[in-house]
Formats: sequence, structure tokens, C-alpha cells
Amino acid sequence: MEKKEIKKLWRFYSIADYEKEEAFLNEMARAGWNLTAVGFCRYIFRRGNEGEYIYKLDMVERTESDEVKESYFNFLTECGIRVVGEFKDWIYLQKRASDGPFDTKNDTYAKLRQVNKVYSFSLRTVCNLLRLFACVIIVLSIVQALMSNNVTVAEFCGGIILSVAVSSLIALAIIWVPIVNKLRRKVNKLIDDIGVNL
Amino acid sequence: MNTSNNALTEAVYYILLALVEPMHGYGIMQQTAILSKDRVRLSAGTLYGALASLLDKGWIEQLPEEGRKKDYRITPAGREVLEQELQRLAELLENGRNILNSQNE
Repeated sequence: MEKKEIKKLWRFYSIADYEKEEAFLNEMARAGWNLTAVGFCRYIFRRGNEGEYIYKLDMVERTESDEVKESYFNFLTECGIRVVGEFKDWIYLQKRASDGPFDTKNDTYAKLRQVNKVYSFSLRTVCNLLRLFACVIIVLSIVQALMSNNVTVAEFCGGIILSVAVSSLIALAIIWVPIVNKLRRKVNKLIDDIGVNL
Repeated sequence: MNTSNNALTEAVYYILLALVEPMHGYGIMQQTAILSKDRVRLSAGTLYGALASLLDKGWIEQLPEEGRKKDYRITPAGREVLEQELQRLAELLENGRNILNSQNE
């Protein structure tokens, strides 16, 4: 029987659960499935040697210039690390297990650096969303004001303004508030560990 | 200049120590692992960020590029920071030893 060489899996990890995502990828690698590509909730693995590679997630802002990104990627290559996948601001790093771990186990500073990147990213996302909603509402309000002689259009705009405002606030409250809170707790816990608050 | 009284992180301390000899990024990682007998392993992300901020502070400098790898070296200002840190560490060590040893007598 021919052995399956490629495995495609769907998994959902929120941005705050990157550690679980890393654990999942490393577990796959230990079983001989090496990550080769990443998409939205989508992971593609190729059959390889068990435990040959280890994985880690890192974040590089998409807003960074190509030059900055390239210089970082070159640096990673120098360190024996391959970027096997990119999704949004995440990059998926692969390294030979025999070259040693990515960093010291339980290095609080390294963890804080990572979670801080994710935390800033989430806050930035929330701010951008708020800005976007505000723009939509302002534009619609202007249209509504200009069209005040046309009752149907004015009512239509009013309805949209209300629904955009309500649905965006609900989306923020349900999706992003828990994520930001979770990340904030992680940041605070690590800051406590470092002893800044002692 | 290290104008603040902050202790250096282990990562920064070892990076500066390693760069007393000109070295490229991967070399710094290896050197740090050797010096600390594998206790401190710098992640690529940590090292990359630290090198950028140390360049910014003027504690290290980049040597003219040869090939693709970038070499770095400590500057006099960086050396000064290391000296100050050594003094701080010596003080910690001395006080610790004095007090604990006097208790043991």
C-alpha cells in the first residue's frame, strides 16, 4: 500500500492561542509530519522523518518594508531557520531539532517579546477596526444629511448606520475583547515573573 | 552610554561579551551557548531585535559587509557599558558572599 505523503488539516487557533498552535505543529513533526504551507485555518504537512524538525511562530508586521523583512529573513536563514509559511503577520519557522531549540526553555524575556508583538498586533487591529467603522458611519451620516429631502434614502442610510454601529460593536465585544484580555493577562503574568512588580 | 542604572539582560550581556571579537549573528548565538555552557540560548528573534537596538544605542557597530553575512563589533561605548555592568555584578557578588559567609561562620 502506498503511504500518503501529504496531509491537509483544518484547525482553528485564535491569535491568542499561538502557543497551542506551536504545540500542535511540533506534535505533528514528532509524528513525522512536517509543515510545508499555511493558510487560513489550513495546514499542509509532508511526510518526513519523525522528530527531524521543530517549529515556532513569529510575527513580522505586514507594514514593515520588504527591505526590513528581507533582512530579517536572511538573518533567520543564517541561523539555520527556514520560513515555511506566512499568514497575515505570522511567520512559521522551521529548524532542525538536532541544531538545538529555538531559545532557552522558559526564557521569560523571549516569551514576553513574543506575546508583546501579538498583543500590539491585536490592539492595532482593534484600533483599525474602530477607525474603519467610524469612517463608514461618518460617510453614511453625510449621505443621510445630504439626502434629507429624500425620505426613503435618508431612512435607508439611518438603518445602515445603526446596523453597522451595532454589529461592529458586537463583533468587537465578542471576538476581539476576549482576545485582547487573554493577551493582556499573559503579558501581565510574564511581567510579574520577571519581577518588575516585586 | 548606559545612562540608566538598569541591569543588562543576560542576552545583552552575552551579546556584548561575544562582540569583543568581530562576529556575525549566528556566531554570537553559538558563542553565547558555549560561554554559558548551553544555559542561555538566544532565539533568532531576540538576537535580531537586540542587535538592532544595540546598534541604535551605539554600543555595537556593523563592520563593512563581506559577502552576505553581516559582522558586528563592540564600540568603546559598549565596552564602557560592560565595565559598568561588571562593577555592578561584582558588588552583588561581594555583598552576597560577605553576608552569607559571615552567617556560616
